[in-house]
Amino acid sequence: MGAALETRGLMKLFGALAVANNVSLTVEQGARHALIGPNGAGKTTLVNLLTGVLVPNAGRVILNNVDITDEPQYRRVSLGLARTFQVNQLFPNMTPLESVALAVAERRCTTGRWWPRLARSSQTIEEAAELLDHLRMLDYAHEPSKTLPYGRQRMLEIALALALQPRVLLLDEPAAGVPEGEGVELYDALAKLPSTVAVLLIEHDMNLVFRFAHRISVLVSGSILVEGTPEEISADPRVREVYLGEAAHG
Amino acid sequence: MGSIPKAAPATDSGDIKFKAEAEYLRAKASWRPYELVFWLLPIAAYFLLPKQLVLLSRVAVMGLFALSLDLILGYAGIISLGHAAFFGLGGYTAGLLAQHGFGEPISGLVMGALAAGILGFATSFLVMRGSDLTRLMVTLGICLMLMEAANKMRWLTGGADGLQGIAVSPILGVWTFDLFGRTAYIYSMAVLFLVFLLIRRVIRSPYGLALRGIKENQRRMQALGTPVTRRLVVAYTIGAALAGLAGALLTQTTQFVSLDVLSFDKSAEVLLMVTLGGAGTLYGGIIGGLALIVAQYLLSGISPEYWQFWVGIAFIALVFLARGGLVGLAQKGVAALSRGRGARAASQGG
Repeated sequence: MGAALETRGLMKLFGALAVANNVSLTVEQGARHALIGPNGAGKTTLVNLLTGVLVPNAGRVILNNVDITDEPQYRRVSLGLARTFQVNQLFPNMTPLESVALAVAERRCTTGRWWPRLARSSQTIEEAAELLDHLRMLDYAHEPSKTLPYGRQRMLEIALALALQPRVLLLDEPAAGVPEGEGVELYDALAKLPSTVAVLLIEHDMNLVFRFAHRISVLVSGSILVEGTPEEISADPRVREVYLGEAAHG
Repeated sequence: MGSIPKAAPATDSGDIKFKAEAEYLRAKASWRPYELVFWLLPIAAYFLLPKQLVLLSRVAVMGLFALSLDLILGYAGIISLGHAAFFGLGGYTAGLLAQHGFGEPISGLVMGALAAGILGFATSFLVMRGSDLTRLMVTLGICLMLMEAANKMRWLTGGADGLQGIAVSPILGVWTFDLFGRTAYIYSMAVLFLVFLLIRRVIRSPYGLALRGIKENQRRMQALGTPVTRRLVVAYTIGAALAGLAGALLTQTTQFVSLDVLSFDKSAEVLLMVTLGGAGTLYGGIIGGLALIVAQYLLSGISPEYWQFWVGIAFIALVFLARGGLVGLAQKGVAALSRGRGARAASQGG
């Protein structure tokens, strides 16, 4: 079995600016891999290239030995690639139960059907309820998503991705905006992620990165500067210079 | 395939807890008492307002037309200024069939819907491209082109004079269209009710939930793996077909069709009805249609020339007072009432 997710020489140009410059990244099966880098390093661009929002100028994206470079976004999802968003992308007027049931129905490929009633799809709804319970969200199941506390909305972000039962999960700054002290449930939820899922965590919060990741890649100006274990990364002088040094000053 | 591990071994209590959630959604989707009352009104109107059946048939037809737009606008979130294209095509299809000796009404409705559905499907790909503003222009353009074509093809459509000599056979070979419009009224109300049942079912299906999702957050839907365009094309096609059905119904119940059905005014009128009643509320289109036609009838009696002025004033007032249209206003009223009742009960209890 090959890598869960792999990029080979990925290039993306915005005009003359290379926002992704020959990025080759390998996320192993079941990995806990973090991608860090200073602001403007091209982390979000990379996520967009992986998920198919952007088309690369060169290079390939391979998901579980399948070349998905030319696949549209929705096909990549059905092949097992799910993501969360740095800025919440929820259904504001739908409840968490409805939202997650929708995600489950998408995974089961039932949302093309317009005759059976949703309320009769007990399995879908029960699975959604079970997932919400797993993330300790069941008490909020019937409130419109827009009225949820911010921390809960972040959890719903993750729930929507998990409902797709991905093989590879891209977490785009899950801790963004979550106040210190309220991150406990988030850390807890990340720790409980199924070990069969390969996770690529894009994050600013160094506490979370070093707690969660077994492997770290550092992205600087669109290129991978260095990759290694958390120990290697925190000891690397180049990383200290461009990243941790900056964080220490800031 | 990686699966989500169960939080705890699936105990009986856990299963019951999750089943309760399914039960909750089922209860939420069930028929409400006010819905039953709403559908008893047309039956009451038949006996209480026998002189207004022609007007009320028009309400049913326009309500059906508005319902078809609500599916596109209120549920799929596609704004259209050219929905009359489908209404008109359905109307002319049924009219031409009846003119050429195929006056059987049910098959006429089906053919009207089919023709409009095909046009809807074919043009949906143009409409899907671009944002709201381009959608307005594209839908408007398609409708104007169709109207001009109908105007030029006098040999087929009768041009500005309208289509003459439409003879509609009795419904199911039994009920003849009478002078008082009784048959036409029952026929159009029955069709409206059946289409309403269809749309109600569709929006409560998994597909309907996906449509809501697309309207609320398209980016997220893409990330959930939805082929968004495909879903919208289906909604647009269904909406177009049902508008064609409404047009065919108008032709059959009035035994006449003219360029008016394809006009910009018709597209604007139906958009006004949906907005007035409340988009995305299922009943909004029908209620908006009723309100607009009744207002038009009453106000044109008072001041024949300026009735549109009063409709305009009422519309602006509604936009300021109730963003969700008449249905939104009613929902707010009910919420305020139940709050008041709760407060009274609390004060009496304490």
